[in-house]
Amino acid sequence: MTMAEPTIAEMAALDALLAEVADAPVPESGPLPVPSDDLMARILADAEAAQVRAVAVPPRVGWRNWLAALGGWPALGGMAVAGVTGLWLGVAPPAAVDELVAEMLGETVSVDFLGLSDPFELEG
Amino acid sequence: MLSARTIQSDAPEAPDPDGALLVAYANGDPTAARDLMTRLVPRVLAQAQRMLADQAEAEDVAQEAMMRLWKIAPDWRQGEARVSTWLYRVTANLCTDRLRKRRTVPLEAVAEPLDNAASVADQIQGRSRMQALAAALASLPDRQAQAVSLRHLEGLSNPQIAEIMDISTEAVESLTARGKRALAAVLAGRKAELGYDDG
Repeated sequence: MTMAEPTIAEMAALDALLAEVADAPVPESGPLPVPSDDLMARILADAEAAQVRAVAVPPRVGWRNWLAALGGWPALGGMAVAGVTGLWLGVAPPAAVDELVAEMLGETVSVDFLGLSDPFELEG
Repeated sequence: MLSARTIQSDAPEAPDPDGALLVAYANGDPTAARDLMTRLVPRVLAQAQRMLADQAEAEDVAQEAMMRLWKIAPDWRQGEARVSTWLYRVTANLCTDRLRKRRTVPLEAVAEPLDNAASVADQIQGRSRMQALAAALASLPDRQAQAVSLRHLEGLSNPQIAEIMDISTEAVESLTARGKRALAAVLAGRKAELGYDDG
């Protein structure tokens, strides 16, 4: 069905209708409707069910969550020590580690890119 | 319009208390959901009522929009979109989904008898006015219906609508203008079908 362009009067009538619907007062309340108790109860039930699921499946670890996931600053201290220790072991493995690695990989693996093959003179 | 005056600041750097509550909800805060509902549900319900002119459908849309909010809460990032912007979009989409389903009902089926001595708006009283507008909105393409509703029923500015619909302000103006011409033509078309002229 093709429709002719509306007249000015028809556009004015539409503006009046839009304004009337936009400003339609809601009985017994102010400018916004008061949701029924039943509606709010349903929405709250949805919220509680979804919240249980959300907390059970941890949220994506964003930058704000990683610290809590690791147990906070006290745990981070321990992790820092472990991290540094791991780096040291990798850069300058004591002889025992070399032997273990050789056993596992079938060959001696030695990394000396920093010239720190025995920085603490453990191998005497 | 009152609805526009209740909208929080548009400035991107202004904090979004709704967003903060949503993050708290996602982290298990036991009172955040109620606070969010008190703040958000009346406006969502009002938007749905104005677009759909049907209380039961408006309540269903409000419940569905809030359900989507609860589900997105774990992924919500503060400082990006505002919750109110997101809700306007979701509610508008849910409403046009419902309006689209109404298109199978011919406009004649919801037409009100018209007196040729008065305008269409004058002849449609109270609740019927809302229903007539909803029926006309249902005949529009979704995005035209959304643009017109957000502009003229919710009282939002073109930049606000552009953010909600994720389009340019020029696109908003174009959609609104085309939507209004189509609405006026639809409502006038009803008069024409009943044999009344514009005189």
